[in-house]
Amino acid sequence: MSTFHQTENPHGQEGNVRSLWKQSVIQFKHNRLAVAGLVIIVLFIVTILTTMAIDQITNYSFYNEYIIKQDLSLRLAKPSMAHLFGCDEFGRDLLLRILWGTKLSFAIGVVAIAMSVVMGAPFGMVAAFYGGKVDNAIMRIMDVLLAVPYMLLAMAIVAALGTSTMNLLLALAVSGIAKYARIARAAVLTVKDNEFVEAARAVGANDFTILFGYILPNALAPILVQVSLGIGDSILAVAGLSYLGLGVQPPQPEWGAILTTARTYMRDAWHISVFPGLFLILAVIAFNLFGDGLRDALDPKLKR
Amino acid sequence: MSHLLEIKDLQVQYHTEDGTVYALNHVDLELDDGETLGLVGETGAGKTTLAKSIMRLIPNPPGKIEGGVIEFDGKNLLTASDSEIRAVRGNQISMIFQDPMSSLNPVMRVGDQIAEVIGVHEKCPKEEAKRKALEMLETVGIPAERASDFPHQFSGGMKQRVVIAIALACNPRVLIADEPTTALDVTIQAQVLEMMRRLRDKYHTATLLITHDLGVVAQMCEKVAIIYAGEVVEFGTVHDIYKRTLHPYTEGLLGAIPQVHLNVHRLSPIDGLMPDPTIQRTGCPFADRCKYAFERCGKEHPQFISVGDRHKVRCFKAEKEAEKGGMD
Amino acid sequence: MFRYILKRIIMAIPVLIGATFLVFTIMDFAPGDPARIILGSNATEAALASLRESMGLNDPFLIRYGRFLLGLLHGDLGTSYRNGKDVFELILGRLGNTVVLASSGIIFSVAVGIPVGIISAIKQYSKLDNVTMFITLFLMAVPTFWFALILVIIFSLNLGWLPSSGMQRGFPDNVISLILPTLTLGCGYAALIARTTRSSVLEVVRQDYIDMARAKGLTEQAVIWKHMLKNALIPIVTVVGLNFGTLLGGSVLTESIFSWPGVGRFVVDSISYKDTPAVLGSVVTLAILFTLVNLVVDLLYAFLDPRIKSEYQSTWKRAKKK
Repeated sequence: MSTFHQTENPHGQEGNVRSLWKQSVIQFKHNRLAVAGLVIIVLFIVTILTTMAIDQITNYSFYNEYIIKQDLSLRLAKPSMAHLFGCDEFGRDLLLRILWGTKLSFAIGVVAIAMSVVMGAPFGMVAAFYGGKVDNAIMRIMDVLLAVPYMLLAMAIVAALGTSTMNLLLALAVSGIAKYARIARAAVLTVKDNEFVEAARAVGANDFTILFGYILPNALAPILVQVSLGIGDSILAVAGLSYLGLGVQPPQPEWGAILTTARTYMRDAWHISVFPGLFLILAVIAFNLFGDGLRDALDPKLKR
Repeated sequence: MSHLLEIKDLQVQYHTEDGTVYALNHVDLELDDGETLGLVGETGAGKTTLAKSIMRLIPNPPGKIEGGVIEFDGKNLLTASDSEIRAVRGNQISMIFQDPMSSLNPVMRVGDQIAEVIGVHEKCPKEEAKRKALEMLETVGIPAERASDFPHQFSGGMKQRVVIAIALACNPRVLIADEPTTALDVTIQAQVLEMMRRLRDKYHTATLLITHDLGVVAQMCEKVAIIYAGEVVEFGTVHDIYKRTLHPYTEGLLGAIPQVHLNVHRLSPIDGLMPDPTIQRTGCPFADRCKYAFERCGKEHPQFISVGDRHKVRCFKAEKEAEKGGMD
Repeated sequence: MFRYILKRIIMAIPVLIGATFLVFTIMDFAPGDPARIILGSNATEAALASLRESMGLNDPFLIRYGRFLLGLLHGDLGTSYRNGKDVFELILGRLGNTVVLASSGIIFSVAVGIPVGIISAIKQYSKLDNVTMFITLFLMAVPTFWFALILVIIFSLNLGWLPSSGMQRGFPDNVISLILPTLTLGCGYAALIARTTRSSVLEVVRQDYIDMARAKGLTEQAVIWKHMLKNALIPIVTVVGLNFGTLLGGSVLTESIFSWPGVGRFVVDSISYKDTPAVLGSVVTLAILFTLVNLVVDLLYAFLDPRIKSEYQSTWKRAKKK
């Protein structure tokens, strides 16, 4: 038996004590596309932090001077060395507006999803945990929420509450509830019959402790994967609604909102259409790649 | 005398990102008309690769048949054209896969799945093919009215019966059965094996029975080939293998079978694992696990030598003993 | 099969009613006094009060909802605040255009996405596959409205081949004016379908029954068409169905950009005019359309996968035995 370990498989697959999370990190690192996605996301976050820092240090004088203040002499200026991406219809530098717009595009997209999960996941978890009538009642309500397409539901909510950044956030958050309730339900269903749940019950844990202390940590991976894959769509929805004038209001910079006027000036200023869109695409691709990588690393079903 | 199916010097490799897997190394094997040959080995020894090579079903890439000859009825299957090989598949040589749960198309009625193979090879009208399919279904012990059911409506044993019906529908000359009962319950295993034996005798089909169960081999086969790490290490009649065992690996396999009439304290498994198939080695692949291994075993690769009428072995120890026996 | 369809339809009804209730509740939060919007800012307080009373605006919420639901069944969605026209008629006049655009988007995406996905799967890891996967990754991340802008800049403004907006009448102009909106709506969806098809085919290819089909002596075409495709289609149909809502959302944007006279553009216009009955009516209409499409997808699913159908049939058989 002594030669067994020396000759066979130096990685020692059976005797592996590495934690699942650590293993997932290793697997994720091997996925070059996913790492690229993560790097892009980090760069965007650095951009957000930098713009916020500049605003704080200069007490918004930089923001007011370069992001908001209009200069009609530069109206629709073409890209040049002074203004790499050109200027918008009010003569503001497009690159700066795009960089400063990162914060809202990202923040609304991410916070909306986080709110959807916080509001939706408990419903799904409770439905899966208790099953039967509770499950039926909760999931039928979620079916109703899902019967109205995401964008339309968000539009209806914005229409009812009035157009503002906060209402856009709320609308997107509410529209996503049903989706994450379903995802959480599916995730809990797969772990709730495990023996450790029974063991927890045997030592006298109450339902709340079992659900949030034992089941949730084990059901977290698939929920996280779906969240990361959903951020891209969420960012697109923010931009789409802002584009329609139902979200971030001018003169605040946001990628979708910048594009609102692009249609009007399409003929003379193609750059207003092209650049904000490229940033949007880059961000969405980054989140999609990251999400795909996370799924491959965390989803045990796909592991061979 | 030429054999019905003869495999000579077959080499198959899988070229993967992690390196080349040497799945089959210089395999020789022969099967005669109406005979049943058991192919025995551990998981990963190359049994399924051998079966798929005969059918030319090795997925390429990553798999590739690197050399050798597979002669069926005097014709080399490895150089046959695609249409020639299609005429052989399912018609002259049929195959039963390991897992009946996944070898039937879930969205096609079982009757249609049997009729399909008949339609392809016998070029008969649809009605005729369907009628034959029903007959075949009855032959394997399934009522004909279940022909319009879908696979998920059958149990595992019933599915394997359907698979056998498909395999035998065109009355092939060779049947390759890749662990046909491994996925089934023990009681069902016996039924299916019994049925296979009955049909084999009825249709006089030569059978290559792949298994890791030496008990099944003793029941079903006339000849046995023991495969280890992609090569056949011992070949002979059932009597040769069980009573005149030569290769230490075969000996180990036999020692690992529980025997009711012997009061053994515990079974003796073979220590260790099969060598890494991505490494090409110079010596005997079994040397590391062999209790008889001597210096030569680690340095040279033993040849497949004849030691009896049709008894062959690939082992230096056996070679030595045979020489000694010859001197006596 | 008939019973299955019937059961599905019956199951869809409470969801539909729930959806109308949901949208009605949301729109009830809308600010503004309908009476003042109709009568204008010069109206006297007395006139406003009597109009409110006659419109039933003072009734409890559930009674108002009941009235709305009854009206919906009769084809009465109230009158538009904007121009006093019947909302139901306004929507009906536009619904056809939305259906045309959505169908054309789906047909395009399925017709492109499925073959591309299959080819990509069969030639897995080839250059063609890599390029396709990169393009689809890109297309899935492209915002609908941005893609529309770029298409217009290229094909209308620079090349002058296609109209930049509106819906033309008469053949072939109507088809030509449909091209850019269809591409806008369909490309992302096609990319999604291509990716799903690819992974679904790759999954099916590994199954034993495909080897079994080859072992029967079938030609490669027969293996692909008879054994692979129908199995691979099941997850594809699921994805197509699940994402139809996204497509409808996309059609709202697409219609707005191309001035396509459909329900989606009507919603956006109505929101900006604070025309609550019009918004309520059109969102409810689109939700109904969405539910109906989901119903069709469910039926298609059962048609493709015998396991689902028989699950249902066997419960009937069991019920009969009792």
